[in-house]
Parts: sequence; structure tokens; C-alpha cells
Amino acid sequence: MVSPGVVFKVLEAGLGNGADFAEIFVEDAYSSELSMVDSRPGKAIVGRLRGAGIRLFYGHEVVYATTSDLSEAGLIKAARTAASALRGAGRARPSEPRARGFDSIHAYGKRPWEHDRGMKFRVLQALDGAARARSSMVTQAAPALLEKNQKILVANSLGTWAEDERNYVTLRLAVTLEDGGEREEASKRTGDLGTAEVLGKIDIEAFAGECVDQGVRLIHADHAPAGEMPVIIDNGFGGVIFHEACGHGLETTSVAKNASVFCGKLGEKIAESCVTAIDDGTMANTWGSLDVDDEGMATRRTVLIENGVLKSYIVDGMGARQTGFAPTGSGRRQSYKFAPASRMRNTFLAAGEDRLEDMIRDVDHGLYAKSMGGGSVNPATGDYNFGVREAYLIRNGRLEKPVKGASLIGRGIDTLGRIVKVGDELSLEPGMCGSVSGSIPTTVGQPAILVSKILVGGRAG
Amino acid sequence: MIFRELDPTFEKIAALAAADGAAAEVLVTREDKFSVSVQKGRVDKFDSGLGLCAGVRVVTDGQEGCCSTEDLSEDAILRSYREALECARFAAGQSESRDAALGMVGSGARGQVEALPDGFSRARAIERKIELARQLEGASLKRDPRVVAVPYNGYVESIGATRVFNTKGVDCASERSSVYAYAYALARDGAESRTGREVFFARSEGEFDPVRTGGRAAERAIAKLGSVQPETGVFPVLFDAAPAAELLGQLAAYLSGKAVAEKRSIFALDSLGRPISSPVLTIEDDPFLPMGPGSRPFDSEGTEAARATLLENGVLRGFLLNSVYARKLGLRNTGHASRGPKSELGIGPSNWVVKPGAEGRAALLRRHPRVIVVTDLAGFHAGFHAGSGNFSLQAEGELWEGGERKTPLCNFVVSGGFKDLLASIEAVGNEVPRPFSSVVTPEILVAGLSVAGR
Repeated sequence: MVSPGVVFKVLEAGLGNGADFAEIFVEDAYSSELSMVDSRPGKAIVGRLRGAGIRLFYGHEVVYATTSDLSEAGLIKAARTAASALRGAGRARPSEPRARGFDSIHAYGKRPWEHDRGMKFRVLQALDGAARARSSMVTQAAPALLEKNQKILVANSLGTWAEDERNYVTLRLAVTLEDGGEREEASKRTGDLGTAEVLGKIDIEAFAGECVDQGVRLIHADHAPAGEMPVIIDNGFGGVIFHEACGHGLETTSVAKNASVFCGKLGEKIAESCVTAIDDGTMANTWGSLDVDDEGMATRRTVLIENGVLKSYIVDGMGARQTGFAPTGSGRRQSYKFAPASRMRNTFLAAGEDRLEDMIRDVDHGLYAKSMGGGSVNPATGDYNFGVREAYLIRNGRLEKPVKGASLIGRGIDTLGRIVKVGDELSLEPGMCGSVSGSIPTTVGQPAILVSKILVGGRAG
Repeated sequence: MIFRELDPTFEKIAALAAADGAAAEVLVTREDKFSVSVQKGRVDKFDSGLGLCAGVRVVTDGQEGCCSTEDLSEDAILRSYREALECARFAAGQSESRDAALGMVGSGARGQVEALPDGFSRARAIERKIELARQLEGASLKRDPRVVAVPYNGYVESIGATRVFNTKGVDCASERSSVYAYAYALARDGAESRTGREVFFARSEGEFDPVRTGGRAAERAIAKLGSVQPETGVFPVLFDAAPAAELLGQLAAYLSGKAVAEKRSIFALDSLGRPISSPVLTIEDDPFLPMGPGSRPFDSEGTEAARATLLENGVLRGFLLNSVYARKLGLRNTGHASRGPKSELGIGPSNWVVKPGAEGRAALLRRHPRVIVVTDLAGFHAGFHAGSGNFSLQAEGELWEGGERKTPLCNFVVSGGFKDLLASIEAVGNEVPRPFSSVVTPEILVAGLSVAGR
């Protein structure tokens, strides 16, 4: 995308005012979205994002400048703009870039613009038809297909030179249901680090059926109760609890500012022995995986918590400088418009030995959260919240009835200590994670877990 | 005129569209933005960037196609036109029916209608900007020794320009500036950690008082120390202006003509003229609000902006509409088209302004023996279910008894249905806050809301 000679000049300009490190991130991305609404074509959008971000370090201080002008003059101007922000004592000169070749661990087929749009649209039509045929309560179906191809180049003054190509494909369905004056919405999505060939592996009937059936089960369900109680969180997207409650607090973005409840706890037992948590960027063609991160470092598998003991934080380049911990290949960003930060990849709790049925039998009065929505956390306090899409009341060891509208709130480190059982069936789900460096693809996952006490925000009275 | 250098490109697009039997619109934006945040007085991050983007929207055969590019060369924009046309033609080929409502505005704004405010300097010294961020953080840290950090803070300046051109006669441009600052102060007392936030918005730097904003964030954090969990029950709840804005902002999404037409709103066309909330609520969309973050001279289609009363004493008086959904619903275009260069045509409010009531905060807090004040809400994207209108949201706040503050509260959830919430708004406060988001509302008192706690 940009020649080594130009990159060298840009890095040299970046170091011109005493910075001790300079980096350039160049991106050329193509995105496409096709959708339907009212059983007709909806969105047909394509777009190109192309630009560069230049990052300078002055000790622990960071300067970042972006430009969509990839000419030599445009890049050098951006580097000089960045360098003019601060003055440092560094005398570094950029090293000659060393291209680091690697074999991608991910397999891709045709790029988004090479695929027949008609084939893609027929998938959406099939989803629309299947959703509407599934239940007469369906008043709207909105299927959508999003594809992205992202080519990146990262080079820095230490000689790093890494190029990568990533392809993402997401199929999404949202349905609205109405019955007897009640309304409900349900949605379902896939997410692959891959290309549109994966659409051929999706069972459209089952995909639409699962989405619509959830809405049908919920539309006349009672509201969830309110108060503290034991909660079983099922596998798959249930892993959002670890992502929100703990994962963000393990990122050096928070740890380096002493703004995480996990600060200073490395090596300490912070959970029961049944809890092992992993952040893994190396899983082939998995939504949150990478080959190299957005700082040019090869991705890796990081054990965060092992048998309840905190083993590692999630560390990016600046986080490594600030905390002294080794980087974990976790520097990520949405696009060149964002400086990278320490972010999660595919993050999950490892499988344990308990069976879901046994966990339910052990609860007298509690909640079984079968399907989770998203959530958020305040990393500084560890206070998290997340929504439950589909839940069931447990009474006397049995599922009593479906309930809706629950949210779960608590403090991450407390909840982590209250995971008392971990199921034997791990599954992963794709999601999007928003934070300081933008919105990025991440996978969450876990087996079913039993938490002895969480505040359920349902309806009182 | 902004982007005058693109005039020859627009002329070529007009000629191409005429030959192709299509209508085309080009939305071009430029954003020159920088932000700086500090940690313990040192620059944590300094970001600056110039973003350019052109979005071409083409309508042909009753279908729409869009394409965007960050390369503003003539070649790139003409290529985007061809790709948008291809998208529209592809979509048209997938359906036998034509959407007759799709089209473009033919009699919108022309010319450049807004300039930068007086005193906004493009070339202020970087040192001055960094100093403002330092003062912001410093004001929080100095306010109280229990404030241990301001982990999230920033001073942000932006100058943006927009030009809308279409082949039906619209050609208008505007330029605007903004200054935004935020501070999240972290206070600790023993094992307890609380954060307090304050945000500031203005059109120029001169209005920004970093000491006030930073100090206020610290005060909010300190006020939360010693929080307890409320008991579970149904309580009168007073929402401070910030959480009230988050809640009532949801109404704008429901009153979008697009959501109504696509059956995604909890309100339908026949709700017009009927009460949908308690009579204390009147809401106007005001694109001319001085200092309003959403103020605009024209919408994304180029339709001249106009004030619109959406809710009058609880009665629904209108929906937010662009030209397409006005045609679909048989209503008048209200000039609420909203899109960025990378998206399709949508609908959005400008400044969503709630009319103040008669009573002040003290009087509202004395209306009931016990009132829970909600100062912060979190988790909208997970806890607000737009399809059903049910919400269940994490909150922080205070317990007031007999008009006196008793204790700060944490770790609780307020839940309900959105229609019920609107119906049970008992009073709107009389203090209009300085706009910090495009939803401007005084505090609101809700008669009874489910609170989940102990």
C-alpha cells in the first residue's frame, strides 16, 4: 500500500521532534451491506475506507494523527503534525523495516466484490421467507448481510513491518412480532472471519426458526422478578458476563491508569478453582481472531485466569511500557481513525465438569438466563450490567416459566468470586465490542455457569 | 461555497444521472478534529485528524443504492456514482414492485447558510489546548484527596463542513464548530470506588471553563461515596436531567416516520392526535436552538430545517419525516432526513427539547415522602428493548425523604415499560440545563417505577 522508502521517511519525520518511537498504520478497507425490509430490497451500500494513522511515543505520552491522503507528501505532513504536538529528548532514528512473512492461519475464498450479489440476495430472501412462514405473529423481518475486507500495513521505527488481510462476514436477522396488543423483537446473527462461502453452511430454516421462536416464547412471557438470587447463565453468548465483568478490567488501558479493580492482583486467587479464562487470537477463521494485531505483533493465546488465579493482563504496546508487562498481541482498533488499545479477541471461560441439568436441580429459587443481550462495564469501579434476552424462573430445581426484561448487574470481581459451578459444554458466539479504540469484532463464550448471587433487575411487586 | 473544487464533478454526475435515467445526491463532509487527554498532568493521548468523505446516493427504478469514498478526487467520486447506480439497479432487479416513494428533494436549500461562529480560531496554539486538558484533570484531582484519578477525560475540538448536492436542484453547504470536554473522576474510600462524570459542549473554546467541569465531575464522584443499595419496591423516581435525556431521547426513535412505516415503533400512524403521555409533557424539535449540539440549517437531503412540535400536553402532534417517509405516510416532510456519507437515507431529530414545567427541584422532591433520585443510568443498548418498549437499566442515585437527602444509592435497577413511563410522568422541572447533548430536558418526576435492589 505504501512503499518501504516512503514509510521510512514518514517514520523519520515522526521522530523529528524527539519522540522515541514512531509507527504507521495504513488501511485499505472495502465494506458492503445488503438488506431487506418489507420483503423488498432495503440497503445496497458499498464503501471504501482508506487512510493512515501515525502514532508517536514520548515516554508514556502518545500522539496520534490520521490522514486519508496516502501520498508521500500527505503522510509526511501528518507525521509532522503529530510531531509538532510534543517535544521530547529522544534521538532515535528509524530502523530499516524488516518484512515479517507469515502463513495466515485463516482460509478465505472470494473477496466480497468477487461474489455474485444475486447469490447473497437469495440468502436474504430465503431468511425473510423462512421467518415469516415460521409464525403469523411476525410483522416485520429484516435480514442483512455485511461483508468487510480490510488490508493493513503496520510498520514502526523498531523495524517492524507487517501486512495482513482480514475478511469478515456477518448474517443478521431481526424480527418484530405482534400478538394480542403485545410486541416483541428478536434477533440472531452469525459472525465469521471468512468470506461469503460460509453462507452455504448455514441452515436457513433453523437460523430463522431459532430467531422467531425466541420472540414467540417471549411475547406473552411475564416480566422477570426483581432482587438478588442465584443465576445460571447458559453457554455461548452468556460469556458476555466475563467479557464485561472482568475482561475490560484486565486490559492495560484501565490497569495502567490504576483504574481497574484488578490492579495489583496478578498471581492472586480471584475466583474459585473451577474458573479458567482464556483470550485467544489464534483460532482459525474465528470472528475475534487475527494473524497479527494492529501493532504488527503476531497474535497469541493468553491464559488470563488459571484455576482461579490471575495469570495475565491484556497488554498492548503502550500498556507494556506503562506497566512493564510483556505485550500479548492484543493491540486492536476499529480503523486507522483510532489509535490501538489493549482489547479482547476470542475470550471465554474454559469448560468444567458440571452438567446444566444438575445446576438447575441445585437451585431452589433463581433465574436461568438462556440467552444474553449485550452489556457494559465501568472498568474503574467494575460495575457491570447486561441484558437477558430469554430467561426462565427456576423453582425447586425445575424451570417454571419463561420471563423477560431482566438485566443482571453487579461488580465484576464479586461476581467472578461467586461462580461456583462451570458446565462441561463450551460454545462461542460473535459480537461487537465498543471501547476506546472503536468497535471491533470479538468472540465471547463459556460453558453454562452457576453464580451463587446476582442482582436481577426485573419488575418489583 | 465549501468544496467549490467539486463543482465540475457535480456537473459530471448531473450529466451522467440524466443519461442513466437516475436521480443522484452527493453528501460531502469534512471534519478537522483533535482531542487531548492527560493522566497526572502528562499527555495520555493526543489525536488529530482530517476526515474527508463523499457519499453518493442514487435512486433509479424505485430503488436506492449508496457508495462512499474517502478519496475526493473526481475519479473516485465518479466511480462511487457508478457503484451506487449499480447497487440501485441490482436492488431493482430483485423485486418486481417499485417503491414510488423513493426519490429526492427538489426544492431544498441553496447556498452556504451557516458559517463558523465569531472567535473560533482554526490555528490556536497546541500548548493552549493541552493546558485546558491539564486544567480539566487538575480541577478534579484538587477538589478532594479522595479523587485518585480521572481515568477518562478529554478536551475535543472539531470543525466540520457539509455540502449536499442533488440532481433535482439542491445545493447547500454549512460549516460548524464544536468544543466538547468530559471528565470521569474516580473517587476511592477504602474498598469503595465511585465515578462521577461531567460533560461540556459549546461552539467555541472561550466558553469552556475547565475548572468548573473538572470540579463538578469530582463533586459527583465524592457525593456517591457511602452508597447503599435501596430496597426493592415501587418508588416515585426523579430523573436528573442527564438520565432524563437518555430516556426521553428514545421517544425520538419511536417517532421516526421510518420506524412507524416499518412497524418497528411502539406507536402507529393512528396514534396521531391522541394522548401518548401524561399531559405535563410537551416536546419540540428545534434545529435553531442556540448552542444546541444538533442545530442545523438544513437536513441531510437539503431540506430547510424547521421547528416541529411532536408532543403537545401529551398529545402526539407529528412524526419526524424525510421526503421519502412523508410520501409513504401521506404527511408533510418535516426536514428530518439524517444520514452520513456512508449510510443510506434515514431520519433523526435535531435538538429534542422538552418544555420546562413550573416547579423547581426542591418542590418536586417534597411531592412524596420518599423519592429516589436517579443521577446516572447505564446499559441502554442492552437494557432497553426497543421492540417491546420494556427497559431494565442499571442506576445510581440518591434517596430523599421529606425533601432532604438521606443517602447515596448504588447497584440498583429501574424497570418498566416505555408507554407506562410516559403516562406516569408527574411533573417536569423548571430548570433547563445548558445543552450537553441533542436532547435537552429538565429533570422529570415519575410517579411510580419498579426499583430492584436489596
